[in-house]
Amino acid sequence: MNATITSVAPATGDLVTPHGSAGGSTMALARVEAGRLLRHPLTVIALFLLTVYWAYPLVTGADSVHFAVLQNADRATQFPCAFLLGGAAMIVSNLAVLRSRRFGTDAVLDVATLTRSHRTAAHLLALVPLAVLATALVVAQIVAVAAQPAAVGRINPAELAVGPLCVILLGCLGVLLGRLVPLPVVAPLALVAFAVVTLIPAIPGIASGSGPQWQWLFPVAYEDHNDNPLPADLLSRPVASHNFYLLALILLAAAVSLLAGRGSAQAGTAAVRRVTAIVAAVVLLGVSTAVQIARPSAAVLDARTRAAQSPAAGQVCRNTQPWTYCAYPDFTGRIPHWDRLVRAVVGQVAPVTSVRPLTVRQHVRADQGPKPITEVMPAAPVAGWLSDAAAAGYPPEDVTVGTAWSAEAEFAFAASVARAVIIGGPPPSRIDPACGARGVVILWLAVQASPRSARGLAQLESSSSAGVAFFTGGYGSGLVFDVRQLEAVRNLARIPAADVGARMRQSLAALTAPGATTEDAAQLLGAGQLTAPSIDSVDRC
Amino acid sequence: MPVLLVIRRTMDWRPLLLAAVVGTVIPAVPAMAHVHLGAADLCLLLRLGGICGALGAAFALDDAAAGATTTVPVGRLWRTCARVAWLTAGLGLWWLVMLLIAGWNAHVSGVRLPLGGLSVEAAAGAAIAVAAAVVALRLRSPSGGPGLAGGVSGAATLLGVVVAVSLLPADLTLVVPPDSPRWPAVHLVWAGVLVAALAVMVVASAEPLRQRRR
Repeated sequence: MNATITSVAPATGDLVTPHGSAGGSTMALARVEAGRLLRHPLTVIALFLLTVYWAYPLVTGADSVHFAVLQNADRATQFPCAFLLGGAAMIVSNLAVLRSRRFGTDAVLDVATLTRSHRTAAHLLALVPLAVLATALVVAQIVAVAAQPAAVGRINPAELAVGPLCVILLGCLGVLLGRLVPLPVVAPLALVAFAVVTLIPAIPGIASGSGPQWQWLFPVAYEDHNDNPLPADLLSRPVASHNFYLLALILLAAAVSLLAGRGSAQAGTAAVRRVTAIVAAVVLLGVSTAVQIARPSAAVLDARTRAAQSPAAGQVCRNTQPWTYCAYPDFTGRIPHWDRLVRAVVGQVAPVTSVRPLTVRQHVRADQGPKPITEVMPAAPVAGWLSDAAAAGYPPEDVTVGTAWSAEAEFAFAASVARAVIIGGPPPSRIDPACGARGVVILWLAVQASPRSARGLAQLESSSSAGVAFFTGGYGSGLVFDVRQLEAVRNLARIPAADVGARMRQSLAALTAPGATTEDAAQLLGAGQLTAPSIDSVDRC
Repeated sequence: MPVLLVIRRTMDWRPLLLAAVVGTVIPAVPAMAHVHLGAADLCLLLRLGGICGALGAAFALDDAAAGATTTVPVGRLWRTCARVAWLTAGLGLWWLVMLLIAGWNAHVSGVRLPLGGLSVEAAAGAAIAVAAAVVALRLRSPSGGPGLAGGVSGAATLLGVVVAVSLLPADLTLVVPPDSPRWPAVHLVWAGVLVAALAVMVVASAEPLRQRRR
């Protein structure tokens, strides 16, 4: 029994007292407190909310889960776990420490066998079952996400450990705060403060891509780039040393709370051991801090630049006759999905075998590091990509595709494929107008490619005012459609796709002629009269 | 009137003071650091500050001597009202300071903040916390339990509401950025929540109380 205690929490190694039974009594108290912690309404509500929050997108098949990138999904478990379960652990263990004070039974406990520090140790040990439960939930969530057929990427187990470690850390802080300030308002306030400081690096411009990585000083190092997921090799996340950092913080909080307060100033080896534990924790804290805030290594920064500017050498290419798909190694699982979309678009235009072979290449804006895309998107360095592909011996690319996937990304991909088929030439480096009849054809081909793609266009329309533009891979590379083209395609959606497709194939030459207008396309395809105002500059090429 | 003075002596102001300090620090740090933030971020800071104030407010009804005052001639409703009056005065003064800081932040960042709407949100949050505290005290006090259950229940309820609201899907959310077209509608909801919480406070303070059997 004593060996177990020592291995779980070194700071409580002094539990073997001359009374002999104190260790066993502490464990018995810890079991009771653990049960109360798990059964507390706040813990139950937190567990319920976390389960619903994780299960809801899995059950409804949301795109964010369906197309998960596992090297992002693993660290997405951290904040919900730390905030909900850690928050519950913090408040409930704080309340448990203050229970005797709130109920006016401090004096009764003073004459009990267990000393104040033994009771503190029991409160600290009571956190372990909740942390085990947190681990089980985190593992279940990531396994369920990884089991999705379209999930790609790699899981880092060290990322999964952060959430449960934060549960223990916040619980220890709740105990510590209870021993230092006997007011129950302190723990909820500390929880709000925790949420605030954790979200500081999320403010645009605070986190830096190449300087010292200060965000690692917070329990959860917030790095959000879900709109631009990087291949796992390009991440620079010192999460293993961060786990040691969290362990050091736990050790420190536990040792200080054992020392704090009256009744624990016993002389002898116990105090010495606690001071030793504090010193060890501080040393571990210093070392792990130095390692984790170090700026990303030159090798990683180089690899990021290479991946953004000349990715061909590092990518895997697959040929599914007659098309070629090149993706970063982590993302090759997306190729079958791309292939389905390409077939859906091209199949409407002509028999697949008669179409010129297309090359699709994936791109990611890796050179800015793991940062959300907030600023104006730069032009895509298409000329550099083409010469890079030529140097690596691949055909020039016709379609670019990013690493994030959603309904909007699916629409953007389908529209890019349609652009390559209808207009041809290298992918645009900026947002080009998709003018006249060609724009209508591209838009219709993209929308009919899949229900998700149609939903993507609807989402883009609801978030933009006049016309719709799409982007690929974090670059300002894509097409813009005007309101008349959108209206034409809305009208076409009411007609069976087979009819529209037949009319399109019949008059393809007239539809893709450079001078054909949106009005022409509406007439040829049967979209009826357009009512939206005409914009000359976009209407004609 | 004497009730007000007596009640003021029995109130523990430390939780409210602590909450006010933490709540003030949240928008004050960017103000002192001269960080340029967007209107949405500044709103978030003021909202988080408001949550801190509401957490402190939850503890204003706690009274270790509550068991002894159930027999005094001044009714429960009046005792609650007196506490809430002092609380409102203290919170109101503090919120004025918060609004000044937020105004300064908005001035530095060159944006306009809808301070009225944000104040309604903060008031609704505080009212939820206090109403939950009143209900908790009503359920606990007559059976001889401690008069200290209000703060804990109020704070926990408020945090639960905050988390639940933040998990709402985007089209139902009650926390909108200032340029949202849903701003007026959402604040009508918050005003309704405020009124409902006040009503709960009054109903839960009604007497006579029946002794709950154990």
